[in-house]
Amino acid sequence: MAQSMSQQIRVILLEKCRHDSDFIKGFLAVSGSSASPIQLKVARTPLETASLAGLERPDVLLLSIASFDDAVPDGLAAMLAPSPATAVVLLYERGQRWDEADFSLPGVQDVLSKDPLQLEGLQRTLLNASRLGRARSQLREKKEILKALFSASADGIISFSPVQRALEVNPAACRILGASERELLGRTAEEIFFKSTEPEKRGRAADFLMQTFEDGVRRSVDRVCFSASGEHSLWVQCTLQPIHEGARQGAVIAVFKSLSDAIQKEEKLKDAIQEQFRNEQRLVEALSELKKLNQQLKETQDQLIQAEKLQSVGRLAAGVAHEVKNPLAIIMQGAEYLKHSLARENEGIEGVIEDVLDAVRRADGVIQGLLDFSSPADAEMAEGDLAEVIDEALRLVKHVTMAHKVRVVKKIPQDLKPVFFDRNRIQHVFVNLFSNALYAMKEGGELTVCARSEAEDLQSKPCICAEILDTGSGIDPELLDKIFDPFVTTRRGRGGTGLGLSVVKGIMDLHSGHIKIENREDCKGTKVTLRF
Amino acid sequence: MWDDIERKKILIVDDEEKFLAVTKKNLEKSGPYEVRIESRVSEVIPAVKEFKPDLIILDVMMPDRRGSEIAYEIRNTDKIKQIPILFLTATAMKGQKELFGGLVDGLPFTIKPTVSKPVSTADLIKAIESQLPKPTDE
Repeated sequence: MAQSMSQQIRVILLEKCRHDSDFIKGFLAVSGSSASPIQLKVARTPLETASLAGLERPDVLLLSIASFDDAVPDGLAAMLAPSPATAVVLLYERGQRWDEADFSLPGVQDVLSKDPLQLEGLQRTLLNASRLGRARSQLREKKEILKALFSASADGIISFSPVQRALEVNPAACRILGASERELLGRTAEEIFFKSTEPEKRGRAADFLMQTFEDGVRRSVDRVCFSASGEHSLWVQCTLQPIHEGARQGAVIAVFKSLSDAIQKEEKLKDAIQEQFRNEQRLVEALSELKKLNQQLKETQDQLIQAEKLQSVGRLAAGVAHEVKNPLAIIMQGAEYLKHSLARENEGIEGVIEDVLDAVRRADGVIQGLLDFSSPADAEMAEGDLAEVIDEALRLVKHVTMAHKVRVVKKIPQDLKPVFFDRNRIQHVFVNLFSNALYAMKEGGELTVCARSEAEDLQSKPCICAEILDTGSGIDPELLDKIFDPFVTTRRGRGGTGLGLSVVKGIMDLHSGHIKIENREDCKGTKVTLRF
Repeated sequence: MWDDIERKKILIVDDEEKFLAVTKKNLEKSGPYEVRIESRVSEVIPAVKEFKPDLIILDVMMPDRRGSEIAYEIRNTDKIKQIPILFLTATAMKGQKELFGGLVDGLPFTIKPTVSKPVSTADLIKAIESQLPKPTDE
């Protein structure tokens, strides 16, 4: 206050009447020498006043109403244009009455009458007006700053009046809410927040706003649904600031920042991560599929190699057979001749010759096995009873069964469906498999033969399944993989050609059947499963 | 040994001369047979015509000519066409014997009956006897 007192008060007086202006000048000069540091400049016309105001930036314009040429408001506007915060004091002529409307004119702080003009009154009025003008100017400046802040803020700001209507809305708020200023101004908080009338869809921010209206307490929420309409929810970080803290039912400013972008990004990221996860899974699946295909390819390749091997064996067999069988024929005939001619003369010879004949038959057996193994597919297929074939095969190995003291268990239902097969070849299969089983049970055991119709299901065709189980020595697991390969035998030099199971497999293939050989799980021994 | 019985005439054709020689001996010793042997394919037909066998034993696989072709010629030659033929084979495969003769003049020629080498004299005689006309047939 002391400072403002010591400051000079620059005043421009508009007074076309020289007499009056001189009087006022003199009037103030008197006071100016003592207490008041008033500097006065005089203008005669409103135009002159306006230009002076532009130069001087006065604190107060002291304007005689009678000096205006035209309408007072227009003249005032021109004078205040350079510094709008300038205080205005109007001077009325003698006999003129001031009007309330004068106070609504821009800048007007006070109205004085020239009749009578009191020194003290004028001084005080000018002081007050200048002080008020400065305060107003500061206020205006603050307001400008606030307005700039308000406009420039990246956060949305809406101020609500005590009756909960939007008074001010900044551009950021418009942008965030997707509405124009015109659409928002004057709207109630409800209209802005509750885009949907459905209570569950309204933003939770509204609840906080209402509470702040209610109790005048500032609230800050990090993440809240501001408004929800349809599928679009607006998520914001929001501060609800009462203008007068603690005042109930007062004005409130809502400041908010949209989180939707962040949330969208977050969701996009989530989606991307999920997509990536799915891609990875697809990759893993594709890889495992590839592995499977690779495995299948390898198996097919193995089968091809196997088939190629078998074919070579077949070709070899056919060629070798002719070259071997002819000499065998000579040996056999020759041995028989010797037997007839010499046997009577030398007792030892007959045994030797019998051995030779035996050897010839054995060699022929091997060759015959090779030929059977390589024989092309021209099976004599007909419908027949598998049980009968099994019985015949069992009869053929009966002497071995008895010699090895093996018990035979047969589990074959009476109503087994007929099988379409080459009877002789399938008999060969069973004889071969029985022989193997019996060979593995030299010390006795149990040979089980089962047959049954396999239950029909959707995946596979109905079939007849036969199983041959023995309680013998089982099969070396290493051998299981190549058990159908030709010349794989554990009886090398003891009557095994290593062709038996190869032939069996060939016959089952010829019947589009299936054979599986495995070691029993329930006890020592082997289980052979045939499917027709 | 078999002089008092009428001996059946048998012609054996094979490219294995040693087989022929010993088989002839065995057959003549074991049964009432008069055996003539022939290892030259070109001489078969003249031999048949001259010897007039009761049965011809014919090897299927010979270097110059297949037994099936010779059999075909015999079957198409007057006066000898009715002579029974027993085929000998060293490459018989089960289920394939009948077609083993292959094609003759573009037609499949089956070889049946067939005896597979090596064969014992006893089995050979069994096969021969099964093909020879029975006395009642005459």
